[in-house]
Amino acid sequence: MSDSQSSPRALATHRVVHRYGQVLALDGASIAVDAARALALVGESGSGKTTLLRCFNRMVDPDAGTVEVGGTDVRAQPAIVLRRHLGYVPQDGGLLPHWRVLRNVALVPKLLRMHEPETAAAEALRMVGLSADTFGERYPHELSGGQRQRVALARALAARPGVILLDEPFGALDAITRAELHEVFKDVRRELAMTMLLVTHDLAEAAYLADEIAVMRAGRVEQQGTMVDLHTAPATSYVATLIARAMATSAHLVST
Amino acid sequence: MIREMWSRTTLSLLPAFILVSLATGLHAQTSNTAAPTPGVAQVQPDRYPVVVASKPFGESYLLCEMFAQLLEAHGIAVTRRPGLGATEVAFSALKQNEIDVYPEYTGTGLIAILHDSVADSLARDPRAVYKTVARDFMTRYGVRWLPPLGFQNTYAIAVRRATAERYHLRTLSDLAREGSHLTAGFTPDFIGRSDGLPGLARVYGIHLRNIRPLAPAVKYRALADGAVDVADGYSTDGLLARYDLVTLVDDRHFFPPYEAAALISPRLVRDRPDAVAVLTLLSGRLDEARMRQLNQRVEVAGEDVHQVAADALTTLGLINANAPTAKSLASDAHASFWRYMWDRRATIAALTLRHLFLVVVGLGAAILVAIPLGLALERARNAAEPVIRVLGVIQTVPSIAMLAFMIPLFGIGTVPALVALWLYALYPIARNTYTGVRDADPGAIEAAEALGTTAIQRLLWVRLPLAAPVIMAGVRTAAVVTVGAATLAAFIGAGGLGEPIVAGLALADTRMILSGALPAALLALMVDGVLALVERTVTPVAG
Repeated sequence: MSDSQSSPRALATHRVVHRYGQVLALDGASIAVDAARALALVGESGSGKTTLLRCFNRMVDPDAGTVEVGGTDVRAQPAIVLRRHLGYVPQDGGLLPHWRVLRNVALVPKLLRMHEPETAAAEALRMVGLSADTFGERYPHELSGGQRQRVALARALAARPGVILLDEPFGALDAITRAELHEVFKDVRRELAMTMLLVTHDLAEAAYLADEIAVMRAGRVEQQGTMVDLHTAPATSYVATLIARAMATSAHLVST
Repeated sequence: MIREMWSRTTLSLLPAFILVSLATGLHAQTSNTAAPTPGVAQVQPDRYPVVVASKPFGESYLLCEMFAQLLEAHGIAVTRRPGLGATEVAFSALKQNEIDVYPEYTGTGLIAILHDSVADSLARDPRAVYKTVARDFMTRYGVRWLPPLGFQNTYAIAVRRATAERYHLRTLSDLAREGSHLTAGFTPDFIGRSDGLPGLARVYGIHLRNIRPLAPAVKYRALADGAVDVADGYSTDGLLARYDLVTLVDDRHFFPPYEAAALISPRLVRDRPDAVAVLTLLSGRLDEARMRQLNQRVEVAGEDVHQVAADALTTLGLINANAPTAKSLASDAHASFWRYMWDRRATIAALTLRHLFLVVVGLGAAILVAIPLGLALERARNAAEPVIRVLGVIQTVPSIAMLAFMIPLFGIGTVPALVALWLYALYPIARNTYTGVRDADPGAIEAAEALGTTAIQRLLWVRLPLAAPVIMAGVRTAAVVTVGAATLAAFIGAGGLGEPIVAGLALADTRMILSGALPAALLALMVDGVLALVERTVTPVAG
C-alpha cells in the first residue's frame, strides 16, 4: 500500500475481484477495519458481501487483489492455521448436529491444542448468556433457534481469536429473539476487544451493532464510513437512497 | 434321400475326422510313454475323493446318487455336489477338474457345448451323435464320455390331456396347426437353445399365441393348473405321469438323440482308472422304462433319492442289498411338515450355519471395500457416478450368469460363491456411503471447514457419523439381498440353504423347498434385526 500506516489494519482488502464461473461476484472491493472495531457489510442479496467476508478465512480465494489479516497476506500461512485464528458464525449456526453443545463450542480450542478446551468452552457459553451446566450436555436440536445462534457465537469466541467473522448471524431469527441476540453481541464486545466483520442486509442492525458500515453493490464497496458519514455525505446516490429509506422506516416506527 | 444326406455329412466330416484321429493317436502315445514310469506316477495323484455332481433336475440327482453309491460300494471315497447350476456351470466345473463326473446327454453335449448345428442325418442316429461328442470332447477338453447308460431322455413337448383332446393334438405338426390358440411356458434354456424353441419354430413353423419363460420347477404345475397350455420337458420325467400330461410326437424328428451317459473329468481319466472302471459298470444297464419308473418314485411318490438309487443298484446287482445306505434318512411322504423339519433339524442347522458363513464373509468383505470406496468417491466426485454405475451394472447380472462367469476364474464351491456375493453387495453399500457422505448436513460441514478442521477430520468427525444411518441402510439392503442370493450358491456347489431349495425344486418336493426357504427367510429377518441394533448404536443423535 502506498500510504504508510503506523499500525497495520486488523482486516483489509484491496481491489478484490472474484468470479463464480461467468458471474462477477466481487469487482474491485476494498475495505479496512482497525483492530477491535466492528464493520458491518450491508447490501442487497448478490451484492458480494458474503463473498468478501469469506475471502478473509479463505473459504474464497479471490482471482485478483489482496486480502490481509493483521497486515499479513492471508496466503502467507496454510488456510487451516489461518482459520483456527478467525472466529466464524454462519447464518444457520452450522453446529455439528451429533455433538453436544460443550463439544461443539470446544472445537477450535481442541484444534489449537489448548490446555483445557472444555473450560474455555464453558467460559464462552457464559459470555453468551448460557450456563454450561444447563446447556453443555444438550444436542443442538434440543435448543431454540436463538440458543443455537448463541452457541454458534460461543464457538467462535471460545479460542479468543482476534477477529470474528459473522455471516448474517441473526438473519433467520424472529424480531424479539434477534433483539436479545443484539444485546448478547454488545455484551460480548464490551467484554472482549475483538475485531468484528458483520454481514447483514439490515441497515438498522448494522448501525446498532457496528462502528462503521460498508455499503456494497454489484461487487463493489460504494462507501465505508460511520452512519453519520453515510447520512451526511453519501458518496453515491445509491447510498443516499438506502439511508433515506432506512430513515423513513424508523421514523414511521417512532411516530406510531 | 437319407443316404444322400448321410454321405454328404460324412464327406464334410472326413477331414475333421482324420485330424481328430491323428490327435487322439498322439494323445494315446503320450499316455503310453507316461505309463511305464514306475510307481510314483500311479500312486502320486493320491486317492482324492471322486467329486460326483449333477444338474438341478430330478433324474440328474438320481443318477448322481447312483454314481456315488456305486463308487462307495467299491471302496472309493466320494464327495457329492448335486444340483449344479445348469449345463454351462456343470461342464465348466468338469473340464477344470472341479468335479469328476456328472450325468450328461449326448444331444446336449453336441448342441449346447460343442455348438454343432444338428446335421439332419445325425438327428436320427444316436450312435453317430455319441461318436461325435466322444471324439470331440476328448480332443477339445480331455473329457471322456463313458458308454451310454442305455436310455434316451429327449425333449418332450407336453400338453394337458383335455387340451390334446379338444384340439386333436397328437404330433408337433398338430401343434403347429393349432398354435395360435395356445400359450406356452418354456424354460429359458429351451427358449434360447438352438435345439430348443428356435429350431422347433423353424422346422415345424410353430407360432404360439404367447410364450412365457418359466423355471423348470414350476412349469409342470403351471401347465397342470391351466396357466399355460404347452410346456417343454424331458421324455423320462416322472412329473409327466404325475400330472397326466400328453407328450406330442416329434413326427419330423427334429430333436437329436439325448442318450444319457457319465461325463468324466480329465484328471479322473488320467489318474483314476479304478473309478472310471466302476462307473462303466452302469453303461447299458438303464433302459427307458426303468428310468421313467425310478424318476416317478422320486418325483411323483416323493421317495428319498438315496433310497431309490440304492434300490436301483441292488436290483441291477451292482451293490449288495445289505450295504448300509448311510445317507438315507427315510422320509415318510405323509409325515407332517413340522415333523419333517424336526427330523432334519441337524442338517438344517448345519446348512443355516453354512449359509450364515457365506453371508457374513461376503457381506463383511463388501463392507470393507465399499465404504472406503464410497468415501473415496466423495473426494473424487467426477469419478463417482461412473464407478457406481459400473457396480450397478454388476448388480444387474443375473445370479446364475454371474456364478457361471466365476467358474473359469475360481472354479466351483465356496470361493466363487463368496466373490459373487461380494460383488452383489458392493453396490448398495457404496451408493449409500457416497450419497450419505456427500449430502451430510452441508451447513455443519461448511462451518467445520471455516473453523479450521482438516478434510480428514471433517470426514471422521462430521461426514461419516452424519452419513451413518444412510450407510447402515445400504448395509441392511445388501445383507437381505445377500441372504437371498446365497441360496443360489448351491448351484455352484457352495452349499447353504439353497441346497434343499434347489433339490426340492428339481424333485418337486415342496417340503424340501420350504426346509431351505423358511430358515433363509428367518435368517434374513435375523440379520436385518441385528443390523438394526448396530444402526441404533452408530446413529449419532437419537432425535
